[in-house]
Amino acid sequence: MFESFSVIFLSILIEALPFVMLGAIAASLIEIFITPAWITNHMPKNPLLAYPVAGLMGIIFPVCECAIVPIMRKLIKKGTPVGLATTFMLAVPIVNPVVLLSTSYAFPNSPMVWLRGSMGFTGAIIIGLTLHRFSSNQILKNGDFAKTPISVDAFNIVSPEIINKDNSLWSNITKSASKIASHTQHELFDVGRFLILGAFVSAAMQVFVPREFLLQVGGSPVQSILLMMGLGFVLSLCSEADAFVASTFRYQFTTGSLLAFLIYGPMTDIKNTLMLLGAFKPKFVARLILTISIVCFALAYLVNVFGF
Amino acid sequence: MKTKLNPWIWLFILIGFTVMLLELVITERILFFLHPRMVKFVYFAITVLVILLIDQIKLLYFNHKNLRKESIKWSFLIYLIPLFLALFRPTYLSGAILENKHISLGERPMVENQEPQIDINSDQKITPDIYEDGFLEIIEDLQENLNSRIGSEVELVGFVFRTSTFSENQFVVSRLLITCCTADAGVAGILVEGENLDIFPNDSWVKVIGKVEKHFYSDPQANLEFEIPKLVVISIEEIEPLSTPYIFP
Repeated sequence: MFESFSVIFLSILIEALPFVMLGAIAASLIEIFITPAWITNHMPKNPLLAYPVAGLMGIIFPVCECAIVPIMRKLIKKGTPVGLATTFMLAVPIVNPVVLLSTSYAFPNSPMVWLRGSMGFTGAIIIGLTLHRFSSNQILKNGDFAKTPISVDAFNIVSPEIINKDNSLWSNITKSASKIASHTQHELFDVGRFLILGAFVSAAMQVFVPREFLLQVGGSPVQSILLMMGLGFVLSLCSEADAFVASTFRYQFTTGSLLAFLIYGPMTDIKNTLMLLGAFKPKFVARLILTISIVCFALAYLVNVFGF
Repeated sequence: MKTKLNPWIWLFILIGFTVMLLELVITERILFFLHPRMVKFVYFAITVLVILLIDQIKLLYFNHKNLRKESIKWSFLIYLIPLFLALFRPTYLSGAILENKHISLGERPMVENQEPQIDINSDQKITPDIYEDGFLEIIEDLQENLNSRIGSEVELVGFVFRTSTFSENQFVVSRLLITCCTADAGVAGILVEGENLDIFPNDSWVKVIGKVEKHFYSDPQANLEFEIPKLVVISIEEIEPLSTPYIFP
């Protein structure tokens, strides 16, 4: 039993680790080379275009949901409308190449990649539009960006000028390289903890939860979604790795519930909520989470009803 | 208590993970954890770990004067859990946990009042040459062409697996089927029926030669009836476990 548990636990971890590293490296590159000003300057002014573009931004900025909160905050500070920034914040951790790549490896020969991408995109836009209509623009928490209880190295958005044109090319490269390495270390440390926890819980569910229970809940179109959403919220997994945890349930749980796990988790979870509360007013955070929950449930339920 | 130990602990953790992954890859034990197509990502992970190792060593060697004293991060304990478990070199999944897994017996659902399902490759006969331990190929063939295989002799090598739905003189000769990693492994096999089968304990490895028959199986949960292939034992012997016991479709 102990050996079986260890094998399952380690297999999830080893499988997901390379993708978490990819995400950490990508996040470091973005931290060093891109500024939120670039984003606001390149967003189309026409709202009909702006929302879909915000929904697709993750393709250029594959940022984990952990690092997205400070970016969102800077965007709001620079005057980005709330709805648009929300769509950006929710879509980027889902509609991005690293996440979709890991999803395709975790669910081979399955429509899950397309489901996740399209439903994540759609959901992010719906939620953004809803908040645009139902939320004020004054959402920033008063005072400084409070230090959150979970240590995230201050997301140092550095303007491209750090690459000093006067210095030699080689010294710029080595300076950037060591910056990337140290950012990656911190990102990896931060995210790795939750990956280990998620793999642990997933392995424990496999070994200790009786099959009948899993089949009963997992097969029911509504209960399965609720359970998976709850799990996604609690586990606070990085979106690069959560596909591997979800795929361990793929035989017992409905497709809709797995999809719910894969879009709800990146949009909101314990860790993410704590970070949001550190940056935004509680009323906004509450509205946000409520809207996310309703929309994700609805999309997942539709998938179950249409029999994927 | 504030110390400068944190970077050292992280260095130790990085070394630990690098060694763990290297050992798995070099001894090929990695195939007990992952599907072969995922192994290239482990090489990538090892490379990244080595780069981070070098960066951390640089930090401790050149910049140690700049390190602040801070309290030890408790989160490091979480990282020690997988390293600790890996020390025991876990490798095999045991029978008890397999009951929680997805089980595939080559079933086809039966629909009432319908003609028997048309077999796809009816012309092909099973001969020993085609199936060089193609366990997966054999059971897929039995599933698709059951009607035309009835009466043929088939040889299968796998481990003994029992569930409560079958009787005492039955077990399933199985392999573990891995799609990405062991966590989503499923049991795939064929029902075997014979006399005195209880001398073979669960998880023991056997070579079975049997005659193909049809068996009707009702799944109490799904409330469906299935027809599955069954091998009536002609000969059966216990063997050593295979060195590559998993199947990787």
